[in-house]
Amino acid sequence: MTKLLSMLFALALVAAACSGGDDGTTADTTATTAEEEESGPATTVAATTTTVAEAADGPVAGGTLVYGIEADSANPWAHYRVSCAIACHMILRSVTDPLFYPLEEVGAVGPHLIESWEANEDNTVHTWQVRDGVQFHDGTPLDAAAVAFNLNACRFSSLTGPALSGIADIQADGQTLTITTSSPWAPLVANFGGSTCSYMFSPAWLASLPDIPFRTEGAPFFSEEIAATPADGDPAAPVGTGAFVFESYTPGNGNSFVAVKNENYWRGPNGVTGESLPYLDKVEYVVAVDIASRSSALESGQFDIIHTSNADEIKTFQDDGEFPMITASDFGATSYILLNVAAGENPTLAFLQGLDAPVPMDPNGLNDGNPLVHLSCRRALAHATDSQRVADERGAGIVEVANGPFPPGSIGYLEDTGYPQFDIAAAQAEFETCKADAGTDVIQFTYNTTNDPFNVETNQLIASMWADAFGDEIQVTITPVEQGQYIGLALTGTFQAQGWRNHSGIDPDNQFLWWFSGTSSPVGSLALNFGRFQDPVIDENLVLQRSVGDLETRRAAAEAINRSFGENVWNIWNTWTLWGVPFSPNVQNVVGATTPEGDITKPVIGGAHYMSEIWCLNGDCQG
Amino acid sequence: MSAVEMSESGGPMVPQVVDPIELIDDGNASSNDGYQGNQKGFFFWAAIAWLIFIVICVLAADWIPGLPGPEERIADRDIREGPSAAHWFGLNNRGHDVFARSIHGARISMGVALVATIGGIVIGGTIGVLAGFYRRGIDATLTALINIMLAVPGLVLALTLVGFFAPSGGFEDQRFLFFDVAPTTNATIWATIALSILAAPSIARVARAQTLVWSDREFVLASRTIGTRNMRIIFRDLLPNVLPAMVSFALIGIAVLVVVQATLAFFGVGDVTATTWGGDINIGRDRLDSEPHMVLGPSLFMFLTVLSLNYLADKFTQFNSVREAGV
Amino acid sequence: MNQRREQAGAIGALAAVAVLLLSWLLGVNGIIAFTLAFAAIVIGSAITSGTYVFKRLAALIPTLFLVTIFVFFLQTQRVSSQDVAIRVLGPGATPEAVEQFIDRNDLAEPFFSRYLDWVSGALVGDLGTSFINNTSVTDQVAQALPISLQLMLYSQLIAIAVSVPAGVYAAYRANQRADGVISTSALGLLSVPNFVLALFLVYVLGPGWLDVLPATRYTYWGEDVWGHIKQMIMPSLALGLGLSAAYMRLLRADMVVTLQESFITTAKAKGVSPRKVLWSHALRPSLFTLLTVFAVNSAGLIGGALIVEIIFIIPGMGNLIGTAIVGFDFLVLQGAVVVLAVGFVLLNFLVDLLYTALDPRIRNVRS
Repeated sequence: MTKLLSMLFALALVAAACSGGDDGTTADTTATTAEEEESGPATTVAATTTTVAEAADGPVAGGTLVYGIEADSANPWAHYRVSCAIACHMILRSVTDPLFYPLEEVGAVGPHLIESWEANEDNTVHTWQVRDGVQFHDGTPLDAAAVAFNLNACRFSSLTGPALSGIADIQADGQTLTITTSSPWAPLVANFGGSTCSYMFSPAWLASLPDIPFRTEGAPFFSEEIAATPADGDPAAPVGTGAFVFESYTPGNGNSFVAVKNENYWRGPNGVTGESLPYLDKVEYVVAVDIASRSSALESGQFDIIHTSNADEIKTFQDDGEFPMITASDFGATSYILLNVAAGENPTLAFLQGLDAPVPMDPNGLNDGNPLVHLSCRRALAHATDSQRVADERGAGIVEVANGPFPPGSIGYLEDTGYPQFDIAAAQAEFETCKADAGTDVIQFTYNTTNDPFNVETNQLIASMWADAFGDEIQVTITPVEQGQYIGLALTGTFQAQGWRNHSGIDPDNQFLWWFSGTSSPVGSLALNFGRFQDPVIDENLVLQRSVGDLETRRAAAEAINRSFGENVWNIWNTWTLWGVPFSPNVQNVVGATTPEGDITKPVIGGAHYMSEIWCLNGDCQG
Repeated sequence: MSAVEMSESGGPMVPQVVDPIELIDDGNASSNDGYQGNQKGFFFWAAIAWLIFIVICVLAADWIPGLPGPEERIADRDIREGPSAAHWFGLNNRGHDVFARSIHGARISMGVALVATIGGIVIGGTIGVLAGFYRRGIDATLTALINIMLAVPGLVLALTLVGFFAPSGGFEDQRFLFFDVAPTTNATIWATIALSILAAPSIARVARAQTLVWSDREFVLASRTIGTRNMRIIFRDLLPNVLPAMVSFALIGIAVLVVVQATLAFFGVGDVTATTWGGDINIGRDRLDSEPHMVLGPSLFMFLTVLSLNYLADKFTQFNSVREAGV
Repeated sequence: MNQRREQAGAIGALAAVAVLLLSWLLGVNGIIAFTLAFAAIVIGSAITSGTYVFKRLAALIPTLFLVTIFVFFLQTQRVSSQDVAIRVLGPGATPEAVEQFIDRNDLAEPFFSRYLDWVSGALVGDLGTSFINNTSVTDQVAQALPISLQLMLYSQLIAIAVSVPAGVYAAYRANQRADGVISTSALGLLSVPNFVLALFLVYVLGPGWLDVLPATRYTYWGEDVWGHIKQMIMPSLALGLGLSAAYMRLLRADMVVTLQESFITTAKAKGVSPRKVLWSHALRPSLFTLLTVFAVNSAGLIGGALIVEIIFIIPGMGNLIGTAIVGFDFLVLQGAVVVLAVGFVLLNFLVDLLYTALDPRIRNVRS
């Protein structure tokens, strides 16, 4: 049962990666290109030596794929109002399409709904060509106006807006979309390669939803025309451009979301690209919160494919070898310990809000007693944490120890970030400084964890390492928190240390909001920079990587960010999240998605992958 | 009708409680049908021995020589190692001795159930005796209260109550009434209170039914006639007669609450950092097919304890009805 | 005359059961089915015992009122509206988004006005809309309830199928070895919590070991009858086995007493075969007790299925409630609890009617 809780945990934390306009993770896949030297938490298709041979005949149409998903993800599936976790991403990927596909090549996106794009010299005016001949399921054509409508809905939404606040204006003309940004924004397209706001929905459907921002009276973007139309759209019945058309949805664990083949798919026989997608007749996503139950359902043939980030379960599937499985951690989220460093004042925030006096970060002194505001204490804890043991014991030995927010294969990954290595002697030396800095003999703080037993055990293990290193001089109180309250504590800064998972993304630009000092609000008010750190190096390089298009410059900026995280220990890094997608041997081409032009994509994003090119042997997924 | 009561509080344990109450209500059913007659057989002493062992675990687990602590990592052993001579139930996810944890787990698993049962008897007994004794308006009001509690599914009520009361971490003042306590302790206290509230209505029904019967007896009526004060009648005439039924009930109640406590731990409610049987079952559950020993150990302890309590409650009911029949 | 009135009561009760059974077989909306069943019971019992039923009915109204207000209070007051908003909006929540959410869902309104809003909707069958999935609570309950009722029914069938033969045999062999074995195993079975039983059933019968039954995922009766049966075996066993032990013990205790009564001795003396004495003379009075407990337990089972439903991925009331509690989705929880409370009350009515209609002793006491 606590799995129920753990799914909500997962939902919450993965959602962190998505709601801010950043994207889920991408995982690498296929052994096609050599990502090897980038080093690899190797994405493997530990597949199917037996079945691949049979697949030589090529794709066959037909079949119903039953997908066991880990959470009843957020309906509504309208980008502007959803925190999208993996289950939600899987559903979006069947009923609609993103503007761009992230490519295999690091830092590149390929065309999808947007056919071509260019920017002016200083990266402030972006001109995108919307693919011609694409239709939404309700028959509305996809033109620049439709894309503009979608982007504006996201921009003006209070939930997804902050990530897109750099956009000053959007103009549509036929199939040409012109986006003007208020400052240079070179990696703009990287924010539309699989983030929730990169998915397009029919403007007619969006306009019929009751809470679309354009219906907000008094707002500058208020539209009288839309407000006059009835708000009778069904938010649970998304209308997109995707390979599958929504058929039914019933909320709740054990219930399902069903979508059937889109006969008019733009990449299909009646489409514009000369392809014949999709192959499947029907996809059915069944919510199965409990991982043990989900696996048994796959094993006993109830499900044809499932996803999980539970390393033990992945290991079991690996060892059994009965089911082909994709495992991937590239571009994945990082598990880490969020530390509340709120102290002093925040001049950036004052500047952004137009205030004369700097904003005090901890106006009520709630974080006063937190020793973690001292660098020495953070370093001491980092030195005392044996992340390899965490990976071995809690991650089945298959997850990889993290040294920063960028896993191998991402822009900004470094083999050595300067983050403190596991070293008891160094830890004890730092600890002396820490005690002096904190002015106490016993370092005390509370360490929040969700009440999921797996997470509790992991955090107990970490706390026991600290106790091993510092004995009685450290007193860590592990506090399990109800899942529903957990995110709230991070947002409002009412914590001292807290287990967390976040920062998946295809590009460092996706992380802008989470790390910028301008989003580091005082304790008590909502801040996206949960740890409330202010790092001039990170600020400067976030701005730099956004303003230039040159990949090498951007990479250097991201590496500088990574190093600054290492030196300042804003977070205590644990491991990079590993996803496993085991499936029935009959299921083919789970990860072989390409762009219409034939470019190979990064088909797996945070465990989510594309659905349109999957097919089943003999059109039968159950076998 | 009395079968309803504990079944509600018991939530998933519905069945366990059905019959002993039936037996209590009309004692004749069990007066002459013991499986082994009324003599104290092997099982009786085995049950007593097991419960004594559990009581020792509750009181003295920390001082049992050679027993590893619940959070003590067994050095030089692999985590999740199977049972061995040194570690009878094997090791768990973090390399802790499962047998030792099962022994240490008795403290909270049993402690919470025991305290909650006593709490339930105090709350429920008061409500029931008052309702049964004063009748009329007071009875109607209290019965309505009991009905409300019973109409909400037990587990839902428990989850909600704990969620309502228990702290949610962060910087909130971590207090229980006037005492500074750790948030985890606070969670345990509130879980216990929630369980007491949960057990109260069914106990109240038993107490009310018994009070109704006894207060119509001649000696009570006689006391009333000579003008004895109500409180005195309740304490001197009624309580001694109502209590035996409640004690039988309490034994069942403990058994039920051990399981409910485990169920709550299974839901992550209460203090999930504590060592409890339910919590440990939950921890090992994902690896039931590869390392079943992590679940089997605590399950065995819980099973034997609940079985012993059920068995003794059965026996006690028999003695009690025999005694009553002799009155 | 009198007898006919009592028959009306029994017919009403049976009609209610029939309506409920038919409705899930035919897939009728659960709320409608419940209303019909309720009406059948009320009419039947009104004919049987006149105003007594209406008095009890009237007493129900304040009970339901207080139950709803109690649950509503606990749920809405346990977290702040900001917590609810953040829970739904996720980690990207901005102050504006939180404010809009609170505003849109009237979370800032005072408790009583929110409660009254809810009650006025509930009275016409609108239990509100879930925060999390924006779906009507009435629809969700209507979807989940029949599934839980199925699970409940199957568990009861298993319990009866196991307990009747075992109980009768144990009573027949009272205080002998066979009785000892049966009674002791019943006690043992009673001492296994049903979530532990469920875990071990999955382990043994599921894909992990014997692989004879599908472990999880609910299949609709209409979709695949055989699949439905196969899937429901394990969850029903997990709930039903413990029940069967309880029933068996009751039945045994009851029958041991019955077997000593004079009419049994008379029957034996008349030369009726032991088998017939056992199954027709002795069992009949005991079945009455069993029937009562059967009905009473059904109410508890709905709530008790919480964990079992989650382990076996059955989208019934247990899952609905569990998700709602964790998600702060209190309108869903409220709706589910109210429906269960009404069901509980209904079943109590039913039990009462069965008493009145079937047991001459009680009939006499009443009159």
